[in-house]
Amino acid sequence: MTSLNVTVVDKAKDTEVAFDAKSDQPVLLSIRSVVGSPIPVGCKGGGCGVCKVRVLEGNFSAKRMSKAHISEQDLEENVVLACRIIPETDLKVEILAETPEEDKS
Amino acid sequence: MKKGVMRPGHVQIRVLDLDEAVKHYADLMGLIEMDRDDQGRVYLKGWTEVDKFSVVLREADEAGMDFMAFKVADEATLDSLAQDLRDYGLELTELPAGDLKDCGRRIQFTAPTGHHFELFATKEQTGKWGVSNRNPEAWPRDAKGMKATRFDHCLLYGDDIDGVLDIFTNVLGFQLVEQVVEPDGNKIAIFMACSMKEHDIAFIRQPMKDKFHHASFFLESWEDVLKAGDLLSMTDTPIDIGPTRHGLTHGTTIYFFDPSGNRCEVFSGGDYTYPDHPVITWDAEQLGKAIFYHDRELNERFLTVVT
Ligand code: FES
Ligand SMILES: [Fe+2]
Repeated sequence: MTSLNVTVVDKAKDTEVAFDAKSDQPVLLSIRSVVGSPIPVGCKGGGCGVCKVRVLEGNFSAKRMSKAHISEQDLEENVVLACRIIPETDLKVEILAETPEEDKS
Repeated sequence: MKKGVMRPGHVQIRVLDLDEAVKHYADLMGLIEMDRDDQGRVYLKGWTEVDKFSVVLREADEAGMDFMAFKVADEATLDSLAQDLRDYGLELTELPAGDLKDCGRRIQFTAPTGHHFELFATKEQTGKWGVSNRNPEAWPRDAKGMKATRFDHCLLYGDDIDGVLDIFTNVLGFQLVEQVVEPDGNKIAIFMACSMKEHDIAFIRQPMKDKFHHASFFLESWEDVLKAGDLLSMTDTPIDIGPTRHGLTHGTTIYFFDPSGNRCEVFSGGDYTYPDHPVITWDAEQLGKAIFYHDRELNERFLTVVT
């Protein structure tokens, strides 16, 4: 296990926040901050779509993500769920949090 | 008026990884794995349940609920309820006996909220797990984890809950037990029972179709709910909220997530219902207290995180 750096870009708030992420678990689960997570947190299981991000830089592997929220095309565009991607390098991600209306199912 | 619907029979839940899900529902929650079928589905139940299974896990590429079923008194009741549903204007699908292992034929319909429900009358009865029908001991000594005793109810999110209320009360004989209403009388939550419980099925109005908020399992005591919370921490399982108390139903509860993001609840206690009980009403402005009696406000996830 190594420690990697994840930078979260929030265009709505015009902020960039970085945190340390472990290389052996999904990005969202590395966030243990008591002051709140820079990425919206939902079910932590790839089911609800709340933690949707676009990976702008870096490599990752992914556990299965609900296709109700991540389509084939999303995957090609590096749009993923932060609770299901495991970083292989430092990452830069942009928040794309879904509103319930955008649900693809 | 009762129409012969007895109780929740089963729920089929979609999971993204079957092995992780079985660990969650069996090892952590203490459901008993009863069988598997050639489609790879896993059948489980709480130890107090007499029918063979009440939870079916199906691996799929999205999370959520496939369907929830109610058990009716007998095959003749199943036929008459099917006719009533047809007369109401619903299209029915009949699934043959054996489509779910050791379950009789099932009548399926789609509710106005997009959820799939089914009725059945026959399922193999294997009896309570680990205790006999003759001179039974109090509980099985080898139940695991939270030792969930039974599948109790589901809470679902959808748009046309008035349509659902009409079908469940007027066609299927459920009783509206509790509701949350806006000042103009618009219902935003309905809790309905086919039994003496406070709810066997509940809906919250949200502008979406066919969404699954949680499946709930009964525990014997508040201390069991507390210890369920301990087990969630010990296993680093995401907790949504609790242990706390609901205003609606007054049950003590904890919400958490399975490894595919489906919400689960274990709870104890709660009010009871007789057919002559008036409907309990919560005002929409008190929704926070109605859902989480102590916090008196909804957590952000309550309305937004569903599968
Ligand atoms: S938190 Fe629900 S999909 Fe990531
Ligand atoms: Fe519940």
